[in-house]
Amino acid sequence: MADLIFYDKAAVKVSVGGTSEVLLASDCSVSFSSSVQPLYSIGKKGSLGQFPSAARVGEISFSFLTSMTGVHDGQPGNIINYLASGIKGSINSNASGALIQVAGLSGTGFLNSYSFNIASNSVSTSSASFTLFGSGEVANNENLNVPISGRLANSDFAPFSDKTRLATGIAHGRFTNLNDFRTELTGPTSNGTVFGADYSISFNHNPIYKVGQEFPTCTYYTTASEQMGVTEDIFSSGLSFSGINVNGAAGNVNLNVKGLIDNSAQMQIGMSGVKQINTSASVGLDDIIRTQKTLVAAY
Amino acid sequence: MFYTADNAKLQINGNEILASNASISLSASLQPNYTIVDRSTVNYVPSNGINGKLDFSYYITGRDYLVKSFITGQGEIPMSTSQVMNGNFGGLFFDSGYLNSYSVNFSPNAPAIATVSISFFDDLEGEFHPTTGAAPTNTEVLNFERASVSQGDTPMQGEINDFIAGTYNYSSEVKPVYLMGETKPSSVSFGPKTTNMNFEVDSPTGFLPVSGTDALISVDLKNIANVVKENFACSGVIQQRSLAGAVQDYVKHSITIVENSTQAVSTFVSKIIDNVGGEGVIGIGTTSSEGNI
Repeated sequence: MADLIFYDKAAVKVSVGGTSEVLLASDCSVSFSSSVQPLYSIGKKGSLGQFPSAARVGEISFSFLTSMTGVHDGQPGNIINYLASGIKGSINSNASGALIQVAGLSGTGFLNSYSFNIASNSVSTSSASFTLFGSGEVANNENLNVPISGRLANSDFAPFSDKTRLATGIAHGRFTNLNDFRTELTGPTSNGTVFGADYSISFNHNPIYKVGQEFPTCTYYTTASEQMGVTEDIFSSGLSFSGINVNGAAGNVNLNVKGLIDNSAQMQIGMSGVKQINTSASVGLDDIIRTQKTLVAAY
Repeated sequence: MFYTADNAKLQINGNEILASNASISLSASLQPNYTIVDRSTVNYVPSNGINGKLDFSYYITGRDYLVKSFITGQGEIPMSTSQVMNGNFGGLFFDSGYLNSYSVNFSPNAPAIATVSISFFDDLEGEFHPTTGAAPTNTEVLNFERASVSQGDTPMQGEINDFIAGTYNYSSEVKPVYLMGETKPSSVSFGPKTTNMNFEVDSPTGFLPVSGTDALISVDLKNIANVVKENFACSGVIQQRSLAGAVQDYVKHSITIVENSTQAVSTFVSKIIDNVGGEGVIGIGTTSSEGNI
């Protein structure tokens, strides 16, 4: 019987370049799949067998507390936020991926999506998803470059455990100010109250496969699309055909997320070219009318 | 009465083909027969013979050299009946077929599948007889994951390191020769044979001399034991080079090599198994002045 691995021995560690962080993950899932399909021949009943039609691909996704206990490039935050910011701001295409390790399994993955939420009086949670393509050629009896390798085992690393910093280093709605994203109407003046926000970004990666080897010879990052849903109490009917520029024509705006302390430490998500493309209102029993607007940006 | 594809075997020269699909079309060349004073007619007269075509795709297993062997042999050596392909689809058969085209797509990690077109010049004989039978076991369909691509002794301009994907295409012009009184041609004339190989490669360059540039690309297909079981090669001149870019994609660079000769290098034949399981000489191109190719 295999050793049973309890969840407290399955920490998620992500390494990007020369830096790494053990995340405060609340769940994690790993999948590894190969694409085989049955082939059939006319004149014969049944399949000739099942044959590969595409390379093996892995997926790793996890949710985690939006920690700000790490410092990357001088900015407080977590390594996923650092990775997402780096990719979307990159002008290079060649992607190297991030090493993800969990419970003895590991692989190099490319960030598919990253999201988190901020709501009043709530702890923020994030989620991230990676696709693992593997890379290069795999020599006989070696699996160094397969998308996911290893076997289940206790993780030999532990999440950040400085309780003092953890007490204030988790993103929270208490001191996070989202007034930069509120709707402001004029004549008469009316400024919205922001109740919460859902942020997400997705990335497109393009693995280049060639004949003669299973895994891609390289992987390129192509585009990213960013979205933020802001919940407030103002409905703006002034949505224009070309959308509404947020914070001027350049649409540069920062989403600053703070922990449970009102100091200068904040995790920052810089958004540029932001446009509002949607506004909606909804109401339910025993509640006020809440509105939601959707902001988008593309990279 | 309807039948499923399981009930219709495809055979070429008596050998079963592991085809994923097959289609046969027949067309008669008829023209309306008008008289001087008529604006309409119900009479038609034939103006040419029957034009038949068999198209099919089959899995390349490395044991099925029969169809491909016609690339090098057909029309190359003294005419004989062995050049003629006969086909049988569920009991309906023809006996005057000639290889028109043969192509293979080289796609990463994909099963190797060849697409074949055969022309014949008579209607189908026989009756449709449905058959039943289980698929063979232990069939290995070659996969391009185990392909190796090589250049000739003189590497092509531009230091090509990566061959991404490509196609191999062979086509031959086949024209029936009818003698007086014949509706089925007693012979055919073969036109030019052309082989071309298109490959997407790295290292974009615009180098293309007015006289083309010599090039050879050879693709070996290996089985699970890494033994070369099939080969596609094209040795000619690069006549075309293309560069393209599209949003969310990388810059694609393709070269096209054209060869107007079908030398032995184009065919890899290690063994031919006949329809009774024995080693034999089947089809044309297996024996020639060039030896056993």
